Amino acid sequence: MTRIVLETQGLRKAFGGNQVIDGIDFRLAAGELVAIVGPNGAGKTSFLNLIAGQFRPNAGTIQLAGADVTQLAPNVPARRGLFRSFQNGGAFGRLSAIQNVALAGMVRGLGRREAESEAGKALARVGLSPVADWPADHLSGGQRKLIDFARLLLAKPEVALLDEPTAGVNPAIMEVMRAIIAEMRDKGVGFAVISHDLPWVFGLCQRVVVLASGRVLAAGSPDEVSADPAVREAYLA
Amino acid sequence: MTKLTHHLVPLLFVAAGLGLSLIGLRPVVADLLILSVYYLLLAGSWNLLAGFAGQYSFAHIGLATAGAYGTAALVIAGGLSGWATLVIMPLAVALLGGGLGLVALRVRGVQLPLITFAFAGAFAVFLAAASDITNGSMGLQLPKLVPGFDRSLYLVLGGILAGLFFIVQNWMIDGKLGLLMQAIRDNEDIAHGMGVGIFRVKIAAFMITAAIAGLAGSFYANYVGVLAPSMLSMGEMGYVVAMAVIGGLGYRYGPLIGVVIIRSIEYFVRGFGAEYTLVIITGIALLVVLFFREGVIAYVSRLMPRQTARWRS
Ligand SMILES: Nc1ncnc2c1ncn2[C@@H]1O[C@H](COP(=O)(O)OP(=O)(O)O)[C@@H](O)[C@H]1O
Ligand SMILES: [Mg+2]
Repeated sequence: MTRIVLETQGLRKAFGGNQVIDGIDFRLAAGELVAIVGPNGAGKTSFLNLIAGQFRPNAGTIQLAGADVTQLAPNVPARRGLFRSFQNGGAFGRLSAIQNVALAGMVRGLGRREAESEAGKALARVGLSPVADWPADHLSGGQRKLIDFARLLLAKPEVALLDEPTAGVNPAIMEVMRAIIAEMRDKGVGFAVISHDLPWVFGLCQRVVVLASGRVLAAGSPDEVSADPAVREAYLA
Repeated sequence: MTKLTHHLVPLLFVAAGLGLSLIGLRPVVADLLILSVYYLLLAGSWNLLAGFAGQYSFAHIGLATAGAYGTAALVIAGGLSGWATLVIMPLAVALLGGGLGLVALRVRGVQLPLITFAFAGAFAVFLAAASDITNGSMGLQLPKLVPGFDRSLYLVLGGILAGLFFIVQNWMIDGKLGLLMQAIRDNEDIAHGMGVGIFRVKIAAFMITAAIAGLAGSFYANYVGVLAPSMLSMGEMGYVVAMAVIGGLGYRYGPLIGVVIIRSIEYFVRGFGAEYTLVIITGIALLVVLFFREGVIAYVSRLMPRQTARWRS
Protein backbone atom coordinates (compact mmCIF):
# COMPACT_ATOMS: atom_id res chain seq x y z
CA MET A 1 0.00 0.00 0.00
CA THR A 2 1.36 3.35 -0.92
CA ARG A 3 0.77 6.18 1.49
CA ILE A 4 -1.58 8.93 0.30
CA VAL A 5 0.07 12.28 0.98
CA LEU A 6 -2.54 14.53 -0.55
CA GLU A 7 -6.23 14.05 -1.10
CA THR A 8 -9.04 16.38 -2.10
CA GLN A 9 -12.71 15.48 -2.07
CA GLY A 10 -15.51 17.40 -3.73
CA LEU A 11 -13.41 20.55 -3.94
CA ARG A 12 -15.38 23.52 -5.24
CA LYS A 13 -14.61 27.18 -5.71
CA ALA A 14 -16.62 29.92 -7.38
CA PHE A 15 -15.86 33.57 -7.97
CA GLY A 16 -19.24 35.25 -8.28
CA GLY A 17 -21.09 33.16 -10.82
CA ASN A 18 -17.90 31.66 -12.25
CA GLN A 19 -17.54 28.08 -11.00
CA VAL A 20 -13.76 27.86 -11.29
CA ILE A 21 -13.31 24.51 -9.55
CA ASP A 22 -16.33 22.27 -9.85
CA GLY A 23 -15.93 19.23 -7.64
CA ILE A 24 -12.43 17.78 -7.89
CA ASP A 25 -11.48 14.50 -6.24
CA PHE A 26 -7.76 14.00 -6.35
CA ARG A 27 -5.27 11.67 -4.69
CA LEU A 28 -1.52 11.72 -4.66
CA ALA A 29 0.68 8.99 -3.20
CA ALA A 30 4.16 9.34 -1.78
CA GLY A 31 6.68 9.03 -4.57
CA GLU A 32 4.06 9.57 -7.24
CA LEU A 33 4.13 12.24 -9.90
CA VAL A 34 0.86 13.38 -11.38
CA ALA A 35 0.80 15.70 -14.35
CA ILE A 36 -1.99 18.24 -14.38
CA VAL A 37 -2.78 19.42 -17.86
CA GLY A 38 -5.59 21.27 -19.52
CA PRO A 39 -6.34 24.32 -21.61
CA ASN A 40 -5.78 27.84 -20.32
CA GLY A 41 -8.44 28.85 -17.86
CA ALA A 42 -9.22 25.24 -16.99
CA GLY A 43 -8.63 25.91 -13.32
CA LYS A 44 -5.20 24.32 -12.87
CA THR A 45 -3.66 27.21 -10.98
CA SER A 46 -6.85 27.71 -8.98
CA PHE A 47 -6.70 24.06 -7.96
CA LEU A 48 -3.19 24.55 -6.56
CA ASN A 49 -4.32 27.77 -4.87
CA LEU A 50 -7.05 25.84 -3.09
CA ILE A 51 -4.72 23.10 -1.91
CA ALA A 52 -2.03 25.52 -0.73
CA GLY A 53 -4.50 27.82 1.03
CA GLN A 54 -4.29 30.85 -1.25
CA PHE A 55 -8.00 30.30 -2.00
CA ARG A 56 -10.57 29.10 0.53
CA PRO A 57 -12.81 26.41 -0.95
CA ASN A 58 -16.59 26.83 -0.98
CA ALA A 59 -16.99 23.10 -0.47
CA GLY A 60 -14.93 19.96 -0.14
CA THR A 61 -12.00 18.84 1.96
CA ILE A 62 -8.23 18.76 1.65
CA GLN A 63 -6.08 16.26 3.51
CA LEU A 64 -2.33 16.72 3.67
CA ALA A 65 -0.40 13.72 4.96
CA GLY A 66 -3.58 12.51 6.64
CA ALA A 67 -4.41 15.77 8.42
CA ASP A 68 -7.19 18.11 7.39
CA VAL A 69 -5.91 21.47 6.09
CA THR A 70 -9.14 22.73 4.53
CA GLN A 71 -9.69 26.45 5.16
CA LEU A 72 -6.27 26.98 6.74
CA ALA A 73 -4.04 29.95 5.90
CA PRO A 74 -1.25 29.14 3.41
CA ASN A 75 1.58 29.18 5.92
CA VAL A 76 0.07 26.20 7.73
CA PRO A 77 0.18 23.61 4.94
CA ALA A 78 3.58 24.99 3.98
CA ARG A 79 4.87 24.21 7.44
CA ARG A 80 3.36 20.75 7.27
CA GLY A 81 5.36 19.73 4.26
CA LEU A 82 3.64 21.32 1.29
CA PHE A 83 5.74 23.13 -1.28
CA ARG A 84 4.27 25.09 -4.13
CA SER A 85 5.76 27.16 -6.90
CA PHE A 86 3.93 30.01 -8.57
CA GLN A 87 3.20 30.31 -12.25
CA ASN A 88 4.55 33.86 -12.36
CA GLY A 89 7.58 33.07 -10.27
CA GLY A 90 8.00 33.33 -6.56
CA ALA A 91 11.14 35.40 -6.18
CA PHE A 92 11.53 38.31 -3.79
CA GLY A 93 12.87 41.01 -6.08
CA ARG A 94 15.25 42.91 -3.82
CA LEU A 95 16.62 39.86 -2.06
CA SER A 96 19.62 38.07 -3.49
CA ALA A 97 19.26 34.64 -5.06
CA ILE A 98 20.86 33.01 -2.05
CA GLN A 99 18.58 34.84 0.38
CA ASN A 100 15.57 33.88 -1.73
CA VAL A 101 16.51 30.25 -1.42
CA ALA A 102 17.60 30.40 2.23
CA LEU A 103 14.09 31.46 3.25
CA ALA A 104 12.84 28.02 2.28
CA GLY A 105 15.20 26.51 4.85
CA MET A 106 14.43 29.10 7.50
CA VAL A 107 10.70 28.39 7.51
CA ARG A 108 11.69 24.78 8.15
CA GLY A 109 13.49 25.94 11.29
CA LEU A 110 17.06 26.41 10.12
CA GLY A 111 19.04 29.38 11.40
CA ARG A 112 19.93 31.99 8.84
CA ARG A 113 23.57 31.01 8.55
CA GLU A 114 22.83 27.33 8.11
CA ALA A 115 20.04 28.10 5.66
CA GLU A 116 22.34 30.30 3.58
CA SER A 117 25.01 27.67 3.47
CA GLU A 118 22.48 25.05 2.30
CA ALA A 119 21.10 27.58 -0.15
CA GLY A 120 24.59 27.97 -1.61
CA LYS A 121 24.76 24.25 -2.29
CA ALA A 122 21.28 24.19 -3.80
CA LEU A 123 22.16 27.12 -6.08
CA ALA A 124 25.26 25.24 -7.20
CA ARG A 125 23.09 22.26 -8.02
CA VAL A 126 20.85 24.33 -10.31
CA GLY A 127 23.79 26.22 -11.81
CA LEU A 128 23.11 29.60 -10.24
CA SER A 129 26.28 29.96 -8.16
CA PRO A 130 27.62 32.79 -10.32
CA VAL A 131 24.54 34.92 -9.59
CA ALA A 132 24.06 33.89 -5.97
CA ASP A 133 24.50 37.46 -4.72
CA TRP A 134 22.43 39.15 -7.40
CA PRO A 135 19.06 40.59 -6.48
CA ALA A 136 16.37 38.39 -7.95
CA ASP A 137 14.93 41.20 -10.04
CA HIS A 138 18.19 41.23 -12.01
CA LEU A 139 17.79 37.57 -12.97
CA SER A 140 16.21 36.19 -16.12
CA GLY A 141 12.85 34.44 -16.07
CA GLY A 142 14.51 31.05 -16.40
CA GLN A 143 16.93 31.80 -13.57
CA ARG A 144 14.04 32.82 -11.34
CA LYS A 145 12.32 29.53 -12.09
CA LEU A 146 15.50 27.76 -11.02
CA ILE A 147 15.30 29.61 -7.72
CA ASP A 148 12.06 27.73 -7.14
CA PHE A 149 13.92 24.48 -7.67
CA ALA A 150 16.72 25.43 -5.31
CA ARG A 151 14.01 26.23 -2.77
CA LEU A 152 12.40 22.90 -3.44
CA LEU A 153 15.69 21.23 -2.52
CA LEU A 154 15.87 23.16 0.76
CA ALA A 155 12.22 22.84 1.65
CA LYS A 156 12.41 19.02 1.72
CA PRO A 157 8.63 18.75 1.34
CA GLU A 158 6.35 15.73 1.38
CA VAL A 159 4.22 17.17 -1.39
CA ALA A 160 5.32 19.55 -4.13
CA LEU A 161 2.95 21.43 -6.40
CA LEU A 162 4.66 23.03 -9.39
CA ASP A 163 2.82 25.50 -11.60
CA GLU A 164 4.20 25.51 -15.14
CA PRO A 165 7.87 25.26 -14.14
CA THR A 166 8.96 24.78 -17.74
CA ALA A 167 7.09 27.69 -19.31
CA GLY A 168 9.57 29.78 -21.26
CA VAL A 169 12.73 27.95 -20.16
CA ASN A 170 15.35 26.43 -22.40
CA PRO A 171 15.98 22.67 -22.80
CA ALA A 172 19.11 22.69 -20.61
CA ILE A 173 17.16 24.14 -17.71
CA MET A 174 14.30 21.72 -18.34
CA GLU A 175 16.78 18.90 -17.96
CA VAL A 176 18.05 20.29 -14.63
CA MET A 177 14.46 20.47 -13.45
CA ARG A 178 13.70 16.96 -14.65
CA ALA A 179 16.66 15.54 -12.77
CA ILE A 180 15.73 17.23 -9.50
CA ILE A 181 12.10 16.21 -9.74
CA ALA A 182 12.97 12.61 -10.60
CA GLU A 183 15.43 12.37 -7.73
CA MET A 184 13.02 13.77 -5.17
CA ARG A 185 10.12 11.72 -6.48
CA ASP A 186 12.21 8.58 -6.13
CA LYS A 187 12.91 9.57 -2.53
CA GLY A 188 9.18 9.59 -1.84
CA VAL A 189 8.05 13.16 -2.49
CA GLY A 190 4.61 13.36 -4.09
CA PHE A 191 4.46 15.75 -7.05
CA ALA A 192 1.64 17.46 -8.88
CA VAL A 193 3.12 19.26 -11.86
CA ILE A 194 1.23 21.56 -14.20
CA SER A 195 2.79 21.76 -17.61
CA HIS A 196 1.93 22.46 -21.21
CA ASP A 197 5.07 20.66 -22.26
CA LEU A 198 3.50 17.25 -22.64
CA PRO A 199 6.56 15.25 -23.78
CA TRP A 200 8.55 16.59 -20.84
CA VAL A 201 5.94 15.98 -18.17
CA PHE A 202 4.70 12.68 -19.64
CA GLY A 203 8.27 11.45 -19.42
CA LEU A 204 8.19 12.02 -15.66
CA CYS A 205 4.69 11.18 -14.53
CA GLN A 206 2.88 7.99 -13.67
CA ARG A 207 -0.52 9.55 -14.05
CA VAL A 208 -2.14 12.42 -15.89
CA VAL A 209 -5.16 14.42 -14.76
CA VAL A 210 -6.79 16.50 -17.45
CA LEU A 211 -8.76 19.48 -16.18
CA ALA A 212 -11.28 21.45 -18.19
CA SER A 213 -13.76 24.00 -16.87
CA GLY A 214 -12.86 23.16 -13.30
CA ARG A 215 -13.56 19.43 -13.63
CA VAL A 216 -11.53 16.31 -14.17
CA LEU A 217 -12.11 15.60 -17.82
CA ALA A 218 -9.94 12.51 -17.93
CA ALA A 219 -7.38 10.72 -15.83
CA GLY A 220 -5.07 7.84 -16.47
CA SER A 221 -1.69 6.95 -17.85
CA PRO A 222 -0.12 9.30 -20.40
CA ASP A 223 -1.03 6.86 -23.19
CA GLU A 224 -4.63 6.56 -22.06
CA VAL A 225 -5.31 10.26 -21.87
CA SER A 226 -3.48 10.97 -25.12
CA ALA A 227 -5.84 8.60 -26.86
CA ASP A 228 -8.97 9.98 -25.21
CA PRO A 229 -11.16 11.73 -27.79
CA ALA A 230 -12.68 14.04 -25.17
CA VAL A 231 -9.21 15.27 -24.27
CA ARG A 232 -8.32 15.96 -27.88
CA GLU A 233 -11.52 17.88 -28.29
CA ALA A 234 -10.99 19.99 -25.14
CA TYR A 235 -7.51 20.92 -26.26
CA LEU A 236 -8.65 21.87 -29.72
CA ALA A 237 -11.75 23.74 -28.52
CA MET B 1 30.06 46.66 2.67
CA THR B 2 31.24 43.81 4.76
CA LYS B 3 29.81 42.58 8.02
CA LEU B 4 32.90 43.96 9.76
CA THR B 5 32.15 47.51 8.59
CA HIS B 6 28.64 47.16 9.87
CA HIS B 7 29.97 46.17 13.27
CA LEU B 8 32.45 49.03 13.33
CA VAL B 9 29.78 51.67 12.78
CA PRO B 10 28.33 51.45 16.32
CA LEU B 11 31.82 51.82 17.76
CA LEU B 12 32.39 54.79 15.54
CA PHE B 13 29.32 56.54 16.91
CA VAL B 14 30.26 55.88 20.51
CA ALA B 15 33.76 57.16 19.82
CA ALA B 16 32.41 60.21 18.01
CA GLY B 17 30.10 61.01 20.92
CA LEU B 18 32.99 60.77 23.35
CA GLY B 19 35.34 62.75 21.15
CA LEU B 20 32.86 65.55 20.45
CA SER B 21 32.02 65.84 24.11
CA LEU B 22 35.64 66.60 24.84
CA ILE B 23 36.38 69.26 22.25
CA GLY B 24 33.88 71.84 23.49
CA LEU B 25 31.56 72.30 20.51
CA ARG B 26 29.64 75.53 20.15
CA PRO B 27 26.20 75.05 21.80
CA VAL B 28 24.32 75.55 18.53
CA VAL B 29 26.32 72.75 16.90
CA ALA B 30 26.09 70.49 19.93
CA ASP B 31 22.30 70.97 20.06
CA LEU B 32 22.03 70.24 16.35
CA LEU B 33 23.99 67.01 16.73
CA ILE B 34 22.16 65.85 19.84
CA LEU B 35 18.75 66.40 18.28
CA SER B 36 20.02 64.68 15.15
CA VAL B 37 20.30 61.51 17.21
CA TYR B 38 16.59 61.82 17.96
CA TYR B 39 15.91 62.02 14.23
CA LEU B 40 18.33 59.25 13.40
CA LEU B 41 16.57 56.92 15.81
CA LEU B 42 13.22 57.82 14.29
CA ALA B 43 14.19 57.82 10.61
CA GLY B 44 16.29 54.69 11.13
CA SER B 45 13.58 52.72 12.84
CA TRP B 46 10.95 53.95 10.38
CA ASN B 47 13.24 52.71 7.61
CA LEU B 48 13.34 49.28 9.23
CA LEU B 49 9.56 49.23 9.34
CA ALA B 50 8.77 50.78 5.95
CA GLY B 51 11.96 50.18 3.96
CA PHE B 52 12.69 46.65 5.17
CA ALA B 53 9.35 45.26 6.28
CA GLY B 54 7.25 47.25 3.80
CA GLN B 55 4.87 48.50 6.49
CA TYR B 56 4.05 52.17 6.00
CA SER B 57 3.07 53.45 9.41
CA PHE B 58 2.41 57.05 10.30
CA ALA B 59 2.37 56.40 14.02
CA HIS B 60 6.08 56.81 14.51
CA ILE B 61 6.15 60.39 15.77
CA GLY B 62 3.08 59.55 17.81
CA LEU B 63 4.95 56.68 19.44
CA ALA B 64 7.95 58.91 20.11
CA THR B 65 5.65 61.51 21.65
CA ALA B 66 4.11 58.79 23.82
CA GLY B 67 7.65 57.93 24.90
CA ALA B 68 8.35 61.57 25.73
CA TYR B 69 5.14 62.15 27.67
CA GLY B 70 5.50 58.80 29.40
CA THR B 71 8.95 59.93 30.46
CA ALA B 72 7.51 63.16 31.81
CA ALA B 73 4.82 61.24 33.71
CA LEU B 74 7.33 58.86 35.25
CA VAL B 75 9.69 61.66 36.24
CA ILE B 76 7.21 64.30 37.36
CA ALA B 77 4.40 62.21 38.81
CA GLY B 78 6.27 58.99 39.51
CA GLY B 79 9.44 60.56 40.86
CA LEU B 80 11.63 58.23 38.81
CA SER B 81 15.03 59.27 37.52
CA GLY B 82 15.38 60.15 33.85
CA TRP B 83 17.85 57.32 33.44
CA ALA B 84 15.24 54.76 34.39
CA THR B 85 12.83 56.16 31.80
CA LEU B 86 15.38 55.50 29.07
CA VAL B 87 14.94 51.81 29.85
CA ILE B 88 11.26 51.74 30.77
CA MET B 89 9.81 53.82 27.94
CA PRO B 90 11.17 51.71 25.05
CA LEU B 91 9.51 48.68 26.65
CA ALA B 92 6.27 50.52 27.33
CA VAL B 93 6.11 51.99 23.83
CA ALA B 94 6.88 48.56 22.34
CA LEU B 95 3.74 47.31 24.08
CA LEU B 96 1.77 50.31 22.84
CA GLY B 97 3.08 49.69 19.34
CA GLY B 98 2.20 46.01 19.66
CA GLY B 99 -1.35 46.92 20.62
CA LEU B 100 -1.61 49.30 17.70
CA GLY B 101 -0.17 46.62 15.42
CA LEU B 102 -2.74 44.07 16.59
CA VAL B 103 -5.41 46.41 15.26
CA ALA B 104 -3.66 47.87 12.25
CA LEU B 105 -1.74 44.89 10.85
CA ARG B 106 -4.60 42.40 10.65
CA VAL B 107 -5.61 43.47 7.20
CA ARG B 108 -3.37 44.48 4.37
CA GLY B 109 -3.48 47.60 2.23
CA VAL B 110 -4.55 51.06 3.34
CA GLN B 111 -5.55 49.75 6.76
CA LEU B 112 -2.13 50.36 8.30
CA PRO B 113 -1.53 53.92 7.03
CA LEU B 114 -5.11 54.86 7.90
CA ILE B 115 -5.18 53.45 11.41
CA THR B 116 -1.73 54.74 12.32
CA PHE B 117 -2.63 58.15 10.90
CA ALA B 118 -5.81 58.15 12.96
CA PHE B 119 -3.86 57.14 16.06
CA ALA B 120 -1.40 59.99 15.63
CA GLY B 121 -4.18 62.47 14.92
CA ALA B 122 -6.27 61.39 17.91
CA PHE B 123 -3.25 61.45 20.18
CA ALA B 124 -2.37 64.98 19.02
CA VAL B 125 -5.93 66.14 19.68
CA PHE B 126 -5.82 64.52 23.10
CA LEU B 127 -2.56 66.26 24.01
CA ALA B 128 -3.96 69.61 22.96
CA ALA B 129 -7.26 69.08 24.76
CA ALA B 130 -5.89 67.62 27.99
CA SER B 131 -4.21 70.87 28.89
CA ASP B 132 -4.65 70.23 32.61
CA ILE B 133 -2.25 67.30 32.21
CA THR B 134 0.00 68.52 29.42
CA ASN B 135 -0.05 72.16 30.45
CA GLY B 136 -1.16 73.02 26.90
CA SER B 137 1.20 74.95 24.68
CA MET B 138 3.08 76.17 27.75
CA GLY B 139 4.48 72.70 27.95
CA LEU B 140 5.70 70.38 30.66
CA GLN B 141 9.01 70.99 32.38
CA LEU B 142 11.36 68.10 33.10
CA PRO B 143 14.60 68.12 35.03
CA LYS B 144 17.80 67.25 33.19
CA LEU B 145 19.46 63.87 33.60
CA VAL B 146 22.04 65.48 35.87
CA PRO B 147 21.75 68.84 37.62
CA GLY B 148 22.91 71.76 35.51
CA PHE B 149 22.93 71.58 31.74
CA ASP B 150 25.94 69.78 30.43
CA ARG B 151 25.72 69.21 26.69
CA SER B 152 28.75 66.94 26.65
CA LEU B 153 26.82 64.35 28.65
CA TYR B 154 24.15 64.32 25.95
CA LEU B 155 26.75 64.07 23.19
CA VAL B 156 28.12 60.93 24.83
CA LEU B 157 24.66 59.54 25.46
CA GLY B 158 23.62 60.38 21.90
CA GLY B 159 26.67 58.57 20.52
CA ILE B 160 25.82 55.53 22.62
CA LEU B 161 22.17 55.51 21.58
CA ALA B 162 23.06 55.90 17.90
CA GLY B 163 25.55 53.05 18.30
CA LEU B 164 22.87 50.99 20.02
CA PHE B 165 20.52 51.66 17.14
CA PHE B 166 23.04 50.33 14.64
CA ILE B 167 23.64 47.24 16.77
CA VAL B 168 19.90 46.51 16.86
CA GLN B 169 19.68 47.21 13.14
CA ASN B 170 22.54 44.83 12.35
CA TRP B 171 20.95 42.17 14.51
CA MET B 172 17.66 42.58 12.69
CA ILE B 173 18.85 42.88 9.11
CA ASP B 174 21.49 40.17 9.33
CA GLY B 175 19.28 37.83 11.31
CA LYS B 176 16.27 35.73 10.58
CA LEU B 177 13.74 38.45 11.30
CA GLY B 178 15.28 40.86 8.79
CA LEU B 179 15.11 38.36 5.96
CA LEU B 180 11.52 37.46 6.78
CA MET B 181 10.63 41.17 6.90
CA GLN B 182 12.16 41.79 3.51
CA ALA B 183 10.41 38.79 2.00
CA ILE B 184 7.09 40.20 3.22
CA ARG B 185 7.99 43.59 1.82
CA ASP B 186 8.78 42.14 -1.60
CA ASN B 187 5.83 39.77 -1.86
CA GLU B 188 3.57 39.02 1.03
CA ASP B 189 1.55 36.32 -0.73
CA ILE B 190 4.58 34.32 -1.68
CA ALA B 191 6.12 34.66 1.77
CA HIS B 192 2.87 33.43 3.26
CA GLY B 193 2.77 30.53 0.82
CA MET B 194 6.32 29.56 1.80
CA GLY B 195 5.25 29.22 5.41
CA VAL B 196 6.18 32.60 6.85
CA GLY B 197 3.91 33.65 9.72
CA ILE B 198 3.20 37.08 8.27
CA PHE B 199 1.35 38.56 11.21
CA ARG B 200 3.95 37.55 13.77
CA VAL B 201 6.80 38.98 11.73
CA LYS B 202 4.95 42.26 11.22
CA ILE B 203 4.11 42.53 14.92
CA ALA B 204 7.73 41.83 15.84
CA ALA B 205 8.95 44.52 13.43
CA PHE B 206 6.32 46.90 14.72
CA MET B 207 7.22 46.35 18.37
CA ILE B 208 10.97 46.62 17.90
CA THR B 209 10.72 49.79 15.86
CA ALA B 210 8.18 51.20 18.33
CA ALA B 211 10.69 50.54 21.12
CA ILE B 212 13.28 52.57 19.22
CA ALA B 213 10.75 55.38 18.72
CA GLY B 214 10.00 55.23 22.45
CA LEU B 215 13.68 55.48 23.20
CA ALA B 216 13.95 58.47 20.87
CA GLY B 217 11.06 60.17 22.64
CA SER B 218 12.49 59.51 26.06
CA PHE B 219 15.88 60.83 25.02
CA TYR B 220 14.19 63.91 23.59
CA ALA B 221 12.25 64.56 26.80
CA ASN B 222 15.30 64.08 28.99
CA TYR B 223 17.35 66.38 26.79
CA VAL B 224 15.01 69.15 25.68
CA GLY B 225 13.33 69.32 29.06
CA VAL B 226 10.20 71.05 27.76
CA LEU B 227 7.40 69.06 26.16
CA ALA B 228 4.69 70.71 24.12
CA PRO B 229 1.93 69.03 22.11
CA SER B 230 3.49 70.48 18.95
CA MET B 231 6.08 67.68 19.20
CA LEU B 232 3.45 65.52 17.54
CA SER B 233 2.56 66.87 14.13
CA MET B 234 2.27 65.48 10.66
CA GLY B 235 4.96 67.96 9.65
CA GLU B 236 7.38 66.20 12.01
CA MET B 237 6.30 62.83 10.62
CA GLY B 238 6.91 64.09 7.11
CA TYR B 239 10.31 65.28 8.20
CA VAL B 240 11.27 61.81 9.44
CA VAL B 241 9.92 60.17 6.29
CA ALA B 242 11.87 62.69 4.18
CA MET B 243 15.10 61.78 5.95
CA ALA B 244 14.59 58.06 5.28
CA VAL B 245 13.52 58.61 1.68
CA ILE B 246 16.24 61.10 0.74
CA GLY B 247 18.98 58.78 1.95
CA GLY B 248 17.33 55.71 0.49
CA LEU B 249 14.50 53.63 1.83
CA GLY B 250 15.49 50.03 2.41
CA TYR B 251 19.18 50.83 2.70
CA ARG B 252 21.01 50.27 5.95
CA TYR B 253 22.63 53.70 5.98
CA GLY B 254 19.91 55.53 4.03
CA PRO B 255 18.45 57.34 7.05
CA LEU B 256 21.90 58.29 8.30
CA ILE B 257 22.66 59.97 4.96
CA GLY B 258 19.23 61.59 4.99
CA VAL B 259 19.67 62.91 8.51
CA VAL B 260 23.09 64.31 7.66
CA ILE B 261 21.80 65.99 4.50
CA ILE B 262 18.66 67.47 6.02
CA ARG B 263 20.21 68.54 9.30
CA SER B 264 23.10 70.20 7.46
CA ILE B 265 20.70 72.10 5.25
CA GLU B 266 18.74 73.09 8.33
CA TYR B 267 21.92 74.36 9.91
CA PHE B 268 22.81 76.53 6.94
CA VAL B 269 19.35 77.96 6.40
CA ARG B 270 18.55 78.39 10.09
CA GLY B 271 18.65 82.19 9.75
CA PHE B 272 15.62 82.15 7.42
CA GLY B 273 13.15 80.94 10.03
CA ALA B 274 11.34 77.69 10.59
CA GLU B 275 8.69 78.05 7.89
CA TYR B 276 11.30 78.51 5.15
CA THR B 277 13.34 75.61 6.44
CA LEU B 278 10.37 73.32 6.01
CA VAL B 279 9.70 74.64 2.49
CA ILE B 280 13.33 74.17 1.48
CA ILE B 281 13.48 70.66 2.89
CA THR B 282 10.20 69.67 1.27
CA GLY B 283 11.56 71.02 -1.99
CA ILE B 284 14.72 68.96 -1.68
CA ALA B 285 12.74 65.88 -0.78
CA LEU B 286 10.66 66.36 -3.91
CA LEU B 287 13.77 66.80 -6.04
CA VAL B 288 15.24 63.61 -4.64
CA VAL B 289 12.04 61.72 -5.34
CA LEU B 290 12.00 63.12 -8.88
CA PHE B 291 15.65 62.65 -9.79
CA PHE B 292 17.12 60.04 -7.49
CA ARG B 293 13.91 58.06 -7.03
CA GLU B 294 15.23 55.46 -4.63
CA GLY B 295 17.34 57.94 -2.73
CA VAL B 296 20.91 59.13 -2.77
CA ILE B 297 22.46 55.77 -1.94
CA ALA B 298 20.63 54.00 -4.74
CA TYR B 299 21.70 56.71 -7.16
CA VAL B 300 25.37 56.50 -6.24
CA SER B 301 25.29 52.72 -6.32
CA ARG B 302 23.93 52.85 -9.86
CA LEU B 303 26.75 55.15 -10.95
CA MET B 304 29.31 52.76 -9.49
CA PRO B 305 27.62 49.38 -9.51
CA ARG B 306 30.73 47.32 -8.93
CA GLN B 307 32.18 49.27 -6.03
CA THR B 308 28.84 49.46 -4.30
CA ALA B 309 27.38 46.04 -5.05
CA ARG B 310 27.01 45.24 -1.39
CA TRP B 311 25.47 48.49 -0.24
CA ARG B 312 21.98 47.17 -0.52
CA SER B 313 22.32 45.11 2.59
N1 LIG C 1 -8.55 35.43 -8.00
C1 LIG C 1 -9.48 35.18 -8.95
N2 LIG C 1 -10.63 35.87 -8.98
C2 LIG C 1 -11.55 35.63 -9.92
N3 LIG C 1 -11.43 34.70 -10.86
C3 LIG C 1 -10.32 33.97 -10.89
C4 LIG C 1 -9.27 34.16 -9.93
N4 LIG C 1 -8.28 33.30 -10.20
C5 LIG C 1 -8.67 32.60 -11.27
N5 LIG C 1 -9.89 33.00 -11.70
C6 LIG C 1 -10.64 32.44 -12.84
O1 LIG C 1 -10.59 31.04 -12.72
C7 LIG C 1 -10.51 30.45 -14.00
C8 LIG C 1 -9.38 29.47 -14.02
O2 LIG C 1 -8.14 30.17 -13.95
P1 LIG C 1 -6.78 29.44 -13.64
O3 LIG C 1 -6.96 28.60 -12.46
O4 LIG C 1 -5.73 30.47 -13.59
O5 LIG C 1 -6.61 28.54 -14.93
P2 LIG C 1 -5.34 27.80 -15.52
O6 LIG C 1 -4.25 27.87 -14.51
O7 LIG C 1 -5.80 26.42 -15.80
O8 LIG C 1 -4.99 28.52 -16.79
C9 LIG C 1 -10.39 31.55 -15.00
O9 LIG C 1 -11.66 31.78 -15.57
C10 LIG C 1 -9.97 32.74 -14.16
O10 LIG C 1 -10.47 33.93 -14.70
MG1 LIG D 1 -2.37 28.68 -14.56
